[in-house]
Amino acid sequence: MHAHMKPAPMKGKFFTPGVIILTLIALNGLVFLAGRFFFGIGSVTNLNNQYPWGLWIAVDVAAGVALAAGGFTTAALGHVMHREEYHVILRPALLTAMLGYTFVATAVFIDIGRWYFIWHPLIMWNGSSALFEVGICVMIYMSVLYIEFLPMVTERFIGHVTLPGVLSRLNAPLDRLLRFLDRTLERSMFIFIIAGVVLSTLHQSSLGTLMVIAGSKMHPLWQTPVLPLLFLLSAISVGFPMVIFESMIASRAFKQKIEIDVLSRLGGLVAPILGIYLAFKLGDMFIRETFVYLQEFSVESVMWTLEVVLGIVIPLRMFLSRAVLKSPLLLFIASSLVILGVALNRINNFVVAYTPPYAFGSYFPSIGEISVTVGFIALLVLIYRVYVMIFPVISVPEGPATPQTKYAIRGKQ
Amino acid sequence: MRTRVLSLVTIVALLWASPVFGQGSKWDKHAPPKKADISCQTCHAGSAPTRTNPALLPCPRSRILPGFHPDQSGPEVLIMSKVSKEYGPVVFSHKLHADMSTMSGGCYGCHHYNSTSMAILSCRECHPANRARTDISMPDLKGAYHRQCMDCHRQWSKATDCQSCHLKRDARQSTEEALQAARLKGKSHPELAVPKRVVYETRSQRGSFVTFFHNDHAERFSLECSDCHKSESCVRCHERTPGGKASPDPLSRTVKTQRTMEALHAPCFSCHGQDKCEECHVDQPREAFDHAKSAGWALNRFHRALSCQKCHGQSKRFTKVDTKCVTCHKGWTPGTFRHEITSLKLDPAHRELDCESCHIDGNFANPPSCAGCHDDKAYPAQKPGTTVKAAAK
Amino acid sequence: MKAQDRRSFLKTAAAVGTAAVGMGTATAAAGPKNILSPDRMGVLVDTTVCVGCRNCEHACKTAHDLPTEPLSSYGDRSVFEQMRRPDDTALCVVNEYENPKNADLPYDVKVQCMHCDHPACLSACIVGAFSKEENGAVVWDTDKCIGCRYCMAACPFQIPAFEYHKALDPQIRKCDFCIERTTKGELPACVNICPVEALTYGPRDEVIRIAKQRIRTYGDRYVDHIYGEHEVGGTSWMYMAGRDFKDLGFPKLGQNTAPGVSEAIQHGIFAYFMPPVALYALLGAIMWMTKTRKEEGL
Repeated sequence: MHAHMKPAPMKGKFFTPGVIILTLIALNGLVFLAGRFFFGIGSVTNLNNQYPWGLWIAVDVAAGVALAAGGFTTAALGHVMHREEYHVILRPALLTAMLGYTFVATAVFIDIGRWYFIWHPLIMWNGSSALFEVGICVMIYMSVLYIEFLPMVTERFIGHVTLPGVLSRLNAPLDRLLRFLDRTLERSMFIFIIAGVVLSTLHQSSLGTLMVIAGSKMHPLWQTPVLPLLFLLSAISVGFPMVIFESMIASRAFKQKIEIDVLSRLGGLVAPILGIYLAFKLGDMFIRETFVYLQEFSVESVMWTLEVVLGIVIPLRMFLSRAVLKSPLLLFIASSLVILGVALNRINNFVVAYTPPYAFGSYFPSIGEISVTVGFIALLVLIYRVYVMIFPVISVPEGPATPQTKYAIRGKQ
Repeated sequence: MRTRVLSLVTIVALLWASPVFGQGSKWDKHAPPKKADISCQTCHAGSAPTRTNPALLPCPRSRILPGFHPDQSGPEVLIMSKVSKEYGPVVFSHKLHADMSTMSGGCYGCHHYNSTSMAILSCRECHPANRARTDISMPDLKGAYHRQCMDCHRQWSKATDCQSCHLKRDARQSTEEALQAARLKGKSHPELAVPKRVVYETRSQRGSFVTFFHNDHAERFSLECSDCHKSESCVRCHERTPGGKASPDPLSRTVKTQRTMEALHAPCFSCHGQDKCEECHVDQPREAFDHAKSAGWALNRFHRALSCQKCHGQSKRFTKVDTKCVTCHKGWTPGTFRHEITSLKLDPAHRELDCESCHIDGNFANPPSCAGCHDDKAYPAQKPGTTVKAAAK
Repeated sequence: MKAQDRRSFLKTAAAVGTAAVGMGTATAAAGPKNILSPDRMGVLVDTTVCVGCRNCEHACKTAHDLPTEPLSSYGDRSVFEQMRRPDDTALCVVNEYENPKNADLPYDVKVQCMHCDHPACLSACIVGAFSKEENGAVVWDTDKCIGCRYCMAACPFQIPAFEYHKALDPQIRKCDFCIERTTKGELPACVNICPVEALTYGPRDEVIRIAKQRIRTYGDRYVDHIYGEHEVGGTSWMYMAGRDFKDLGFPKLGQNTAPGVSEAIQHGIFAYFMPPVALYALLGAIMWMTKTRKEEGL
């Protein structure tokens, strides 16, 4: 079936009621964001000396990185293992990853107090810092993602560079540049694809190492030396569900047919990965005997249970069922649960589990923090919409023209 | 008392047996400490200190020598001005503080270390003036001074700010200094009221009241305050408020103690260690010991002056003694007894009589009776002799 | 694809691998100054001696150009009613705790950076803005810091504070062991002002020796524990106390260094950059093999 699919820019009106609502949410976030830049982090967030990291790090950065894992997992599947049947989802996954990482980088930019020094890690290195490794890997990986995206740009604009007015003189050189890029990239793309997978493996796991150094400040339900492995496994397990999730939403938004064949085959890969993740998570729990903390009724125990039951156990059972894989709705629900589970896991690791020795209160994100986070997610969706309407990202059936051609060919015979 | 004597004897014996003595003339330069509750090891490391290598331990902060000047010769007011650069001098009422320290280590509370010479060492002879230094084993001079003051002042005045002791460093400083010095001159702490009887209400199961006869103990064993009261704080009498005034009648106050079981019993156990709990812990507060009540025989003024052991023997359990004079006064027979020691010189007529003629049944506790011989005479309106000035035996 | 392409594939992959190894060795050499000198200095805080006059708080603010009330206002003891923590406006604070042995002599505990021998902040800092100096001080470089606050998440004593209400040039603030004063041969400001010398400044080894001697001599005054001698692998500031440290607001920490596990993981992943390079090679091989199979299959 995929043989008939070809990526193409989406057509249609940009502004729909949904888009307008998203724009308003995004604008609201930007207002609070302005507050952060004019009056300092303290004026917008509930962060303080006891809780240095909050919603922005947990959701925008940690969950953001995890949920952009669709990029490297599908790249590994489609490009490294050459599973051609998944090619229709490679571009949307790549775009999600690219925009996801841009979102992460922006969130870091917002959250750090001295944002104008964000380039410092490039020249000031600290090999023992997990954050340094995450930072460097994310920076390189983001560049890789943009490079991987370039073919879509060349494909879209080769032969179509039509700058208006005075700039039209640049049309020919630009076209030549695009053609050069196209040739070079075709030959060297595999380097970037492998690098992207390696870099992702590294920083997805190092994101887990981040909180290891917090030691006893982190609740034992989550604090473990195997955190990096759990982070990597959870990132891999959320990769395909994330692709399924956004592919279904995109199809719906642009009134395309859901690629249920590809998606259900992709869904079939989720259960084993999710199972391995669950096995490691529970194994670690039994080795460290932290299940004792589940006996007490606390925010931590409830959140842990939610994360594992809602985010791993239930979707694992669902992905094991053929009926679920065949049903777009159930597949969507199962994928959403995995996404929710991983997002919860990141929030738990970075916010819920963090118990400072001297706390004068507990942390809950402020209206400002939530507004900025939600605003940025809205913005992300809008930019995604813009991209798929400009670049050939989403595959569509080759359109009504195809049978005509075939007919014509037949006619010639 | 006996254990004290015993331990003193033991320590002296040990000292004689020690090598220091074996080598002879060392003590020429080093008079042995007079209070015997320290040993060589209090000051010296090793067993054989010599003059060239005394192997002195770091400050033991213990009583080294009791040979201080009498209290009166201590300075009355001291102006301490050498240490502080930031603050003005402290006008220190030495005498007043010496008075106060009666129950918290006395002179030794502050003058905690002295050389074997009799002169008082000033703080600066041991404590270095410079805080940046190589030997940090003891506090520097500033630290040493303040540590002496702060613990008491924290408890009593609750003030830790500099101005509560230091004068301001300004133009008025010297005037203020003279004023304070004049005000403190001749001032002394009011004499401490000594309780007679202290009742402890305890939580003991074996009887909640312990009655302690303070004056009996102090007098009988000729104790100094500091023998028991080693680190009494001002708040025993003064209120626990900033600059707390002494309560008007400290002795009748009820005070809650927070000391541990061991700390509370320590002063008692040094003598009563072998006694049963019930000997002190009873259900009612005890009345002061009254010989007349307990023994049915009032002590006259001569007997009152005696120690219990004089009549009741040296053992811990007193032996019962009858009231016959000759039980103790073996030589008192009618022929030899000089009645004038009782303030009554018998006239010749009565001198020849048996004691029982007047002292019915030989009971000397009862007033004598004339009725055996005389119908018209009665003691004490008529006396069988003349009153003389009493003379002790 | 042709065989020639496959050869170039391998060649390029090898080149990338070599480059990565080169970067790896460079990373291993790069990092902040982290000296554990045998002559490093230490401070012994004797909480049984401290009287809670808070002169150190004033001296600290003055030495670090922080705004402060006049010293005479520091006599106010009502501040002890609530536990306070060091922050960007006060790099050290004194808290007061009950003394079960004598209610009139409460224990006062000065809190500031412990200056760990193996600082978690130093290990964590993304740009290596922290350094452990020859004299034991753990200091922070304004010019490097990006304000990510990972040091705050990492510190087991919850010490680094951040100026949350500054839009521009917010700083991480913490005790710097008065590095400016000590390099000039002066004492740290707090040690210098302490009226009772509850803070004893000296070589760390010597300070530990003195502390042990005090515990031996005055056994009834102290608990037999020098906090900071072994906690998180040792700290430059160490404490003595008359009651259990957990009752004086000290976190219970083991003897393992704070960044130990994290660094072991980091260095494991990046041991001479071998694991990532190996992964790269493995993926390259898989890619090549699947491609070949596909070509042969077609």
